[in-house]
Amino acid sequence: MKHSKRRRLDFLFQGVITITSMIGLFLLIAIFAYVFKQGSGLLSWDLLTSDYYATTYDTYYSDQLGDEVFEKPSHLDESVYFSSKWGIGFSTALDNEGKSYMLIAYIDSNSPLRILPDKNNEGEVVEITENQALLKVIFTNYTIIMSSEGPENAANLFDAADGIIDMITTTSGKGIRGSIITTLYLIILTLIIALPIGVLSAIYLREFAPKKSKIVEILRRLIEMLTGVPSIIFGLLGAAVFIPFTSTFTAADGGNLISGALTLAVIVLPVIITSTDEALKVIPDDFRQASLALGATKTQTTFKVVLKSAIPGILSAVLLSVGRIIGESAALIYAIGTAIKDQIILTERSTSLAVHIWSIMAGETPNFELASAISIIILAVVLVLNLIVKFIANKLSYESRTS
Amino acid sequence: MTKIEFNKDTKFSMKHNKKTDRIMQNILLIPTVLSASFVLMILIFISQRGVAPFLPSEYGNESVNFLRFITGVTWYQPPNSYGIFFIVVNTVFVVALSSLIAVPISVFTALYIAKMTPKPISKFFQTIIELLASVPSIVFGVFGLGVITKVVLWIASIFGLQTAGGISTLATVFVLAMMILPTITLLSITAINSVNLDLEKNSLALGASKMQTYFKVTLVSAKSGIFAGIILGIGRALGEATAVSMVAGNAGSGPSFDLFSTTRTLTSTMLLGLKETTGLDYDIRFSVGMVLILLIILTNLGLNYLKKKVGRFS
Amino acid sequence: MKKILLTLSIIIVAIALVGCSTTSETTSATTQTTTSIDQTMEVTVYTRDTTSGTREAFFSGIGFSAASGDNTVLVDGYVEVDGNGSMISSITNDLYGIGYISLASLTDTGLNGLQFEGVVASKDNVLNGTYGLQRPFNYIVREDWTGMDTESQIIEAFIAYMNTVDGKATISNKHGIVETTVSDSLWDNIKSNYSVCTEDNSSVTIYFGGSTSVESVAKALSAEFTTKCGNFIPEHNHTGSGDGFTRTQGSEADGANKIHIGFASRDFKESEAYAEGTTGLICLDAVVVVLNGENSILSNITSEELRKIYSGEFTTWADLLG
Repeated sequence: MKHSKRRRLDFLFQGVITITSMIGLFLLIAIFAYVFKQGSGLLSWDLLTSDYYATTYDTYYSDQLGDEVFEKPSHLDESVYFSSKWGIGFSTALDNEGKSYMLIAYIDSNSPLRILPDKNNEGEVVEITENQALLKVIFTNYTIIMSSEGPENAANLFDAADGIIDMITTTSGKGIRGSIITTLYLIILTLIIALPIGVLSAIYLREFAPKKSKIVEILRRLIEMLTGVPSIIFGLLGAAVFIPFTSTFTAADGGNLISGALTLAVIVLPVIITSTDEALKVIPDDFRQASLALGATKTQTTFKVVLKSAIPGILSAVLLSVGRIIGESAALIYAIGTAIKDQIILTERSTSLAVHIWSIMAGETPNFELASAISIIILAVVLVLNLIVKFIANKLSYESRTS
Repeated sequence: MTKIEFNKDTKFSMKHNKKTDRIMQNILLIPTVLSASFVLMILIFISQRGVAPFLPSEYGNESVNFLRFITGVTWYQPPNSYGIFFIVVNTVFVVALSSLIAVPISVFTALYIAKMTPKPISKFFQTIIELLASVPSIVFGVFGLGVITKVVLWIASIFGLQTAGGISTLATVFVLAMMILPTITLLSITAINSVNLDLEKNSLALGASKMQTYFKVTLVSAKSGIFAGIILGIGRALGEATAVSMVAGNAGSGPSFDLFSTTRTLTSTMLLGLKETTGLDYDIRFSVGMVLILLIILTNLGLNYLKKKVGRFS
Repeated sequence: MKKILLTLSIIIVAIALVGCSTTSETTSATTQTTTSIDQTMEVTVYTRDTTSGTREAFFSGIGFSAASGDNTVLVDGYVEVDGNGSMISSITNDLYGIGYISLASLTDTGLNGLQFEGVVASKDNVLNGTYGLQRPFNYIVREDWTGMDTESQIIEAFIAYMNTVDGKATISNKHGIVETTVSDSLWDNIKSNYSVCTEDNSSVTIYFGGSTSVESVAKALSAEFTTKCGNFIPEHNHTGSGDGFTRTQGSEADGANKIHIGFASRDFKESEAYAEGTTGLICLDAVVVVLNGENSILSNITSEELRKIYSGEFTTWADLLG
């Protein structure tokens, strides 16, 4: 009797534990499902390579308009309003931030608007293409098209006009090219700063430090303490130390990529030191003894024999650091700022991909689609890096078992 | 440069040999001391900026009243009064709740991965947890704002309660629980794996069921390691900024223990409304940072003390 | 074989879980849409932060100026948001929320914009003064242009541009309320007065700042004006009306955050002692009280009702409906 009750209880426990342990899996899948559902529609080559800020074109039309009457192509539906006089069609579209704008949905290949003179650069031309947005037109009869008044009005006003004093169109913008470049810069700069410091510190602590020295023990503790510091506190360090530091020694004036990279370097330092240290730790002492016995100095031994065997460990440190840099947001908000840029200059502000998300979510209307599209990129990179690190670690432990 | 010289000269004396090593040792001390100095730099420079608002004549106006700062229940009252007491209370409340959710789930997951499942599945699940641990905070924030707040909205509607679009204490608790779950799980797995197998075998041989053994022998022996994981998780939860800021709201006063109303944590205070990069409203965030550091250190000390006490009992 | 079975079962579990998650999402969505307004519910009160010009216009417009710069006089449990955008998204998610936004951002939001004292927020009602919750968008430029010759000339041209047919069209395109007159000239007709615009200014950065409410108007103007004025680089950093003055002529005028032209979505205060001739009006804007798009139990609200909601005298919707 008692026995069966206990078995039932056991079964219950087993069930509860099994179900609870699915939660982690469920969460990971849910996160992926959500960002893919929201962001995959936006994810395109265009998103990765185009500027965040739209390019504005300013043109006019002063020639005599021909008598040609353009036909509205049959593939265009009713949402496109067509001007048969100018051979151009407009519709309402939503931009990446969910705001409506007037889209040039169609332009006939013979339309007089196809190639227009650049109003402000004599001799140059502007090509009006589909997918540009129409902002404003002032016609020679002094009627004005404003994009906020809708495509139907625009088509009607075009049909009534014979010449254009001023016409403003823009490209769509909202691309993330600038933030990708910033992220790459940050990765390179951070590693240049942190890798030598981290690897050399690890070498000192593992190979050169006098054993049982109190001071070394304190140094080790202080470095360990870095891992427990929240990233926003590193951000404060960046704002309080590295921004003034870079402002003094470079052309920078306020947050900049170098102060950001210095901050990130401090963040990844413990990662690099620990990972290198782990790698040095597993190298058998025989290696060192053999090299020393051959008459090499400890310095030679360390840099030629030991370090070589530690390369996979250092490689995982690099990969883990890259993952950390790509995902970091709170620290960079303080150490660089949140201004999205297209022209990336080392001594000025710009955003990494993660801060780009913060910028568009915290600023005006939260833009889930764009945020999710960038999240997909970040997640993909970070997860692949982690899997590679795991693979390296497995391989190493396999090798050390077999050797 | 000197190294090349030595390569050519194969017959150097042992003494010379030692000398290069000693030079190298001193050279290598530089990056090590530099690495170690950053923690001190954080303490010194953040304190320096964080104390400034309370000192007289730093910002033209009167200085911020320190007593009101640490006891205040309203974040900002013009022109220069700040209060942080309720934010500390809210932070502790949110973190405590999230660990209440995350700890059982993490421990069960760790038990499942370490003991209750064959190798391939356990490896698969461990990888999943490791990947979850590497998901950046900002992605949790997007997920939190896009999904968790909707879930909270749905829960609120079941109980007929109101919530400001799901941005609430509960959403913050959920997001934090998700974020510390992998940390606690991974450390618990290590702790459980290092329990002596003989203990379990003895327990089973004495007629205890598997479940009894897991709960009364395995988990009890792994207690100290699991506790270390919890301490790490709580530390992470206290300092988590980006994701929390996106779902916490920006409550101006408190403390509030209502799960469905907006809240404000130390970290969200530091990030939200961050528009200026000079002046009092910016520097006061360094003071908040100081309080955060202090809170983390105190929590760590307290929990470690508790850990020792719990350890002594067994 | 065992491995394959394992993998299969894992995949099945995973799919089932995803299925669960999506269904739970859809149910939450449906419960949202089918909920009707329960009048015993509390009104969630949303407000902008104390540096906001919109907030100042709102509270002074409803006769509750004490709340312009002070949160402590507001009802308990108010929610503070730090931008027009976050106000919109908060109320879109909150069936029982009430807040206020700029008329310029009302279109496309799907929110229920209320009449104020029986008057619809429209361009005409703002211009003829019958709509009470209105405010000016002003600009302020630097007084001290030492070492910024080109910048000063570009700003001068920019201000002239705001008063042309071209500029006014752009301002009203962004829902700024301007009065157009026949005496407005085209930019083409006056641009010869501004020789700086014929030069290549692509290495010149012009810093814009101040009010966030004016941001969309200012950005639209600068984006098209740069093509007309030598491709200078417009850099916008809008942080609030107060900084419009602080960063052009106030305490930060020569600091790292200095700007060339600032904006304020209110009149300048007495404490903001600006130099003669450095400010001007760009356009007018209306502040609209908004409810969730599905909350249609009100179409009009008075300043007295708003005062009572924001001070906490009315707490539920039933209080408000009397």
